[in-house]
Amino acid sequence: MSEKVVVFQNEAGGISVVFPVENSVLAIEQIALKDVPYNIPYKIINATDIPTDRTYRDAWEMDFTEHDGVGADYGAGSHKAFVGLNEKGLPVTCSIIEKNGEEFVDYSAMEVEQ
Amino acid sequence: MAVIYTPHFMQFLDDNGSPLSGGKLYTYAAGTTTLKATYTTEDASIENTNPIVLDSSGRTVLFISGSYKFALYGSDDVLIRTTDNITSFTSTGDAADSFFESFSGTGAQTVFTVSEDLGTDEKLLMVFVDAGGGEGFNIQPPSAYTIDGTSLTFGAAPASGTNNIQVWAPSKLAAAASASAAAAAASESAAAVSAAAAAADAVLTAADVISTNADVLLTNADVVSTNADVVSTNADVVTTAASAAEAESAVAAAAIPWEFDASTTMGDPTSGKIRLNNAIPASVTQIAVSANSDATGNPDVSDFVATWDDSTNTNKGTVNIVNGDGPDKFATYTVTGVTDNTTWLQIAVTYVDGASTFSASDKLYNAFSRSGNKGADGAGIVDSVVSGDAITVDTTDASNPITNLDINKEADTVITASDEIVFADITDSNAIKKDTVQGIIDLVEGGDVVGPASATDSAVAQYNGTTGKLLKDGPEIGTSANNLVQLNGSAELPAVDGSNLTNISVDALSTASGSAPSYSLRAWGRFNGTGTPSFTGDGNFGSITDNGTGDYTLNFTTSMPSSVYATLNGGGTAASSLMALNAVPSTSAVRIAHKTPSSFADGDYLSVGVVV
Repeated sequence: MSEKVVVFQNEAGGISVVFPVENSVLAIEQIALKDVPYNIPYKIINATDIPTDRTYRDAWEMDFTEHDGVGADYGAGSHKAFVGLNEKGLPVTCSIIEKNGEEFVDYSAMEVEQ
Repeated sequence: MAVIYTPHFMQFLDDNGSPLSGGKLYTYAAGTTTLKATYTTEDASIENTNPIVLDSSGRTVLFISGSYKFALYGSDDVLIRTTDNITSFTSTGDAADSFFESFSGTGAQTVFTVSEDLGTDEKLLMVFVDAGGGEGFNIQPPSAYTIDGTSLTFGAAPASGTNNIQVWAPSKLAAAASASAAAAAASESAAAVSAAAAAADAVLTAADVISTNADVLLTNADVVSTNADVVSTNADVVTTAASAAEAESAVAAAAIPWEFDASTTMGDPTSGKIRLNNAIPASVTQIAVSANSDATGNPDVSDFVATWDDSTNTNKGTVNIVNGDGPDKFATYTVTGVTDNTTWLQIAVTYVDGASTFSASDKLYNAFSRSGNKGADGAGIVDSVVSGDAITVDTTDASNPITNLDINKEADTVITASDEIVFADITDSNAIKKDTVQGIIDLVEGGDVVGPASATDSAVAQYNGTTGKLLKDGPEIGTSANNLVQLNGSAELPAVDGSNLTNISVDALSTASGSAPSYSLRAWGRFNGTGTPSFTGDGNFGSITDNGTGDYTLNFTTSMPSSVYATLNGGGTAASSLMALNAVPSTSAVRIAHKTPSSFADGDYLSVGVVV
């Protein structure tokens, strides 16, 4: 398991914790930008700071007044899809087209996020 | 000590018997043209001039020491006669009533034991030593040795040699061993006379000469005339034999004598001899000569003969072999090589010219003239090569590569594509260098570059990655090992047995049977939602978001092409475990809820598959 995790406040007011997979090709900061919903503040903390007692899991709280960043516009629930990293390690995204309530990735127009 | 050659006043006569007034006598070391001194005194303290100019009576005083060659000229410098090998004592040593004994020096031995008691007076002996070097025997002064009965002791060890020490004691002198020095001197003079006479006159015997000299000693008044008669007689004899002797002397000048051995076997001919490998001089290709010539003392000439092939020319030189019988019997060869076998030498030759043949025991005189060394190879340009000429290139000489090769069919035309340039026997791929190939391409003006004939057809040429010009052997097109795969006419890969595609693992892609297509998962994962949520295994999932109890978002590493995908969910081990979507699917993630059955609950062994 990664030594770092990303935490943010979800839409229900609870705390979501993002755990990277082992040997992830993405750095923890890239994961945070990609997997935290668009414009939601997040913190990157040590995984050991996460309680292992989940008895009151839904009652967890955290102050995000100070945070490490916010979810990128290609993050979860955004209008862009993350399709990989370019040779410089920068995110490559494509636009998402919504049709009949479904999302479709438009691969004809890729762009590199700075 | 020197000894007298003839009575003190030796007289020479011309062909008319008249005294040779103003004549000149040149004296040389025997067998050579090296001037050798004679003396006007018995103790060799005063040298004669050389030549000796005879007085108005044709006389001179002459004492000699060792072996000589005399050349007598008139006052007009015209040669009258030449007489060689004049040594005062050798002949008389054989006299029955004299003592003569020889020893072989070692270079270290100083004391020699003679077989008879020779008394104690060194002056009554005549001791000769050949020190080598071709000069022959030289008489030793009494101060050089002592005699005590049978012990002959030298002050310095004579040189090494075979029978190179000779001790002579004339019988009359031996009998008077205790007589006075004056008597001994007289006897010594008589001995000298006998030796000289015997050497000069081949007809007279030693006994005759000695008796004549006895007259000389006894009849002072007749001494001169008697000896004059003797000399005159000798002169006649010498004159009679002069033609052959002078011919031989002329041949011998600057030549090496060997005695002919008729054997044609190329081996050691033994000392002083020469062999030819064919009895017919014109067919001779090899000559074997002893390391020692047949000259007096058999001097070692091997070092000189060994130089006969020193010239760097193919033709090392020319050796002219002349029979001592006369220059009309000869054979001339060019020398191509010499092999030194220590005791003998083998000379490779090519016949040039000759006359007559040689007989066993003939004395052959060998004169060698050396060729000059080969000159430096020229560095010029070949002016022209015509059709049919062969040009040989020595590719082993890396220091002299061909740097500029222009080929024109004719002076005013160029080689075109229809002309053929053939490179024969090129087997080394490096033999044709880049520039050469490029030159050929240029010469044929865009024509095809034709590769070597090969049983392999349709081979693909590969180009050197550095210069882009060198052609190399390429792989064949086909379906065998190391072949290149070529698309078929429909831009499709040729049918290849899937079992050969070992690096693709086609068998792992699908095991479906029937004609219905099969589809692959775009992402899969199994995770444990209890405690700290984490994937046990996954594909294309980059993270898992723990949103609360039983609420997980599985984030794709690479987005799905659309949200229109199916998820295959598997519950955990809890009773009534149920997996369901907890949000509308998106291209970036799928949110899963785990319930038991209606309440959210963390679950273990939760599985998700995504297929599009």
